[in-house]
Amino acid sequence: MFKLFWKDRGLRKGSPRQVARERVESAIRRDRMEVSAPQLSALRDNMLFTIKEHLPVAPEFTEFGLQRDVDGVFLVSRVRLQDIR
Amino acid sequence: MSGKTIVMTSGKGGVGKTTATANVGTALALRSNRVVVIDTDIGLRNLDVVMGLENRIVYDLVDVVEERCKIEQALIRDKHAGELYLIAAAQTRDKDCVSGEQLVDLCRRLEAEFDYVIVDCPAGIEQGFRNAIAAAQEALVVTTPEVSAIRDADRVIGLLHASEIRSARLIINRIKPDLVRRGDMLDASDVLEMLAVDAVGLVPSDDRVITSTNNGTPVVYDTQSPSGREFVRVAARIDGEYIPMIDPVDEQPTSIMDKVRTLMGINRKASAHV
Repeated sequence: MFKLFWKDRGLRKGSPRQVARERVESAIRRDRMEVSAPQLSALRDNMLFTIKEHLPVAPEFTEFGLQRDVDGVFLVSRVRLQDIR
Repeated sequence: MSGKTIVMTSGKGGVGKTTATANVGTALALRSNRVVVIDTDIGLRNLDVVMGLENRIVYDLVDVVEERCKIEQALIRDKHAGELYLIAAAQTRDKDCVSGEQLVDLCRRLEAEFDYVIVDCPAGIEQGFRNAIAAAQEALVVTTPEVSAIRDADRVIGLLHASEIRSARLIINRIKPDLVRRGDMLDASDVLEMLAVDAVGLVPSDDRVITSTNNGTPVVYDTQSPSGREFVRVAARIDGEYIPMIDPVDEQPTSIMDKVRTLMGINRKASAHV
């Protein structure tokens, strides 16, 4: 209903309105994806607990965190396994 | 009587929250409702000035919650609207001297006597904000079509939802139709789409707000004021009346002929509805 009646004014590429819209969307996307440090820590512990049931993990070389790029926000982890030679 | 408590919030300061509170409160009172507006911005009160009641304050919000006076003694009757009252914030006290529980208790007692209890929230998302939203059943989020204000409004809407205030509606303030037409400002549809909440008012930028604030008379009394007319419609919508949403971009005359028509009192029907 809303869309039917609304005129698309001035949303041309590179216009201040378009730039503002993209910037707000980007900022809001980041804000909404924000995960607190305790949440992230709990998530990391749970993930390692599950992996340890299947593989030997060397926890001192675990990376775990959120990374952002133009395509969005990614949960990225790099877990070193214990050398079993 | 069992009224409802509505919190006016924004996140970002300076978007017109206090002006909106004064005008929506006044417009609701002019619809024969009993209304009390509470300024919870302790240490930085301004609602009294916008309403022209700054010289009538004897007791304030902190006096009430600390039981130095009765609620009735802190209620300041508005000069114009008969059933509109203000409880002013304390100007010389700390923000922490009122708790969420105290504000909830006060609002529940006021709801027994008033149709609407409108809480003007301080800017930010600190304790003052949490206190103000604790008592509310509904929220009106005031924003402007600017990047920082919209971002902060989004954060506030998230916090309102987390605190189980599901009824959060948006007042988009200070829309500049000329800038929107030129593609230099976000329009109402952009803002509503990004924030994903319903609008209750689309308020155009209006110099008459400045003069009305200088005079201490809410702009809803100025029938020539575009923003005043929209605040009247906002109050009607809050009161449950169906009033179609009018985009200021379509309402404001652009051509010379439109301006002549407006001067002659021949109004073209606004065409953009939500």
